[in-house]
Amino acid sequence: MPARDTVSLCLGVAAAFAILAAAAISARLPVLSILARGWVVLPFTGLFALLAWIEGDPHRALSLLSKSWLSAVAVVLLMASTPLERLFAGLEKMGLPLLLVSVVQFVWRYLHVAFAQLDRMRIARAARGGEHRFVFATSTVAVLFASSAARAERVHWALLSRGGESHFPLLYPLTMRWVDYAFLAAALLSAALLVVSGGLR
Amino acid sequence: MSHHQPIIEVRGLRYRYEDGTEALCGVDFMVHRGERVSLLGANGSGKTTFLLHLNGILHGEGYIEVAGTELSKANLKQIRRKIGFLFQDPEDQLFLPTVLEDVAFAPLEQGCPVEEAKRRAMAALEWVGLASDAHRAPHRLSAGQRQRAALAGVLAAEPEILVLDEPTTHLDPPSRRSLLALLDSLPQTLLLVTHDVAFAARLTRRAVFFDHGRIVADGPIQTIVRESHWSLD
Repeated sequence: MPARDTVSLCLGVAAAFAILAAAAISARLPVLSILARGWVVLPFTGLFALLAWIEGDPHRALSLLSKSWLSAVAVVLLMASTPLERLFAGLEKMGLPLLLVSVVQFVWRYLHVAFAQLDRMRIARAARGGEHRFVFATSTVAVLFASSAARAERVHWALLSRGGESHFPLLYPLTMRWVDYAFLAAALLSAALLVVSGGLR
Repeated sequence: MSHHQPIIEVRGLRYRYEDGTEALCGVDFMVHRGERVSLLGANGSGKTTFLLHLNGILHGEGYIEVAGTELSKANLKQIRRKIGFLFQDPEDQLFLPTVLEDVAFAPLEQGCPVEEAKRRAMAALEWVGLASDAHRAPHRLSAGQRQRAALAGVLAAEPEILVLDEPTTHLDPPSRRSLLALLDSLPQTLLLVTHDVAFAARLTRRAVFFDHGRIVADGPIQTIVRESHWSLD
């Protein structure tokens, strides 16, 4: 029954929306801005939703749009409310391989250093009369890669010199507070309701 | 422990790079507790390579003893607690998201409880004048502040020996002056690699001169600088 499915879908979206909005409010984040940022995925999923609509399946189109929007809002909310080191520590606790966590952590920390170097190289090239040519772009990437590899070695030396190994100890240990348990329970309940009602099929 | 007891003793240290180039050709070196020594010499003469052997980052042939313990793979962690290493580019050293977390890194790695690590980190930051910047991201700091944050990270580990590799490279004169005052007030044994002769002469009395992987001169810094034609005049 398509009408019943659509009602279930709307209820499911509303429930998920309420949980995310409550999380945003409890984190003292601007709710409207968080919700608006979720639409960043629209150009990608919008195309598939349009195709589904043209195929005569508006329920699937709506489902696609709402699922992708809610997922994007959840990601924006997570990034806005959780300091990165706690996010990384959480990922590590959830079983993501340590190597992967460390790689992401270092990439995040040193990305701005690489961009600053890229900018200095661009200015130096312009100062010597260089133009935007493919050969310059490729050689710039090669130089950046080589210098990043050298920096990686120096960072590793610094890590070892300070007694470090391969993971970062946390200054603020991870603990579950009542609000975390409440959020987890609400999220699980909402997921169970959606599965039972078949709303997000 | 006596001030006359060597805190670092190196005998016959040799090291080759992977391409076969000989970087250290039998270095003998000794420094006493509380002493400050400058390591001078041209680029590529082996100064930094030598320092990287003292805490086992590089492994050459020869004998190295730090604070009465012979360096070996089994006691690397123990030795690294005793030597605080300040690298040339603080960007390489500040790898955690905030200054406080970075400075607390070594105490936490040493097994300190969180509150004790935080207390040591804040004390070190206060000492370098960065307590109010504890929660800032390292890349938001100026070059001078970054250097001081990196120094705080080293001092929070409470090392017996400080090793500084070109600490003034990225600093303007006021930051250089403030670093000089900070270092001058420290009680630790200090090894300083630098091309900044004026800075070295203000901080240390003794210097050794590296040339092609060897120490070719060792003595009062003024004599070494004069005899090796290492001053600007």
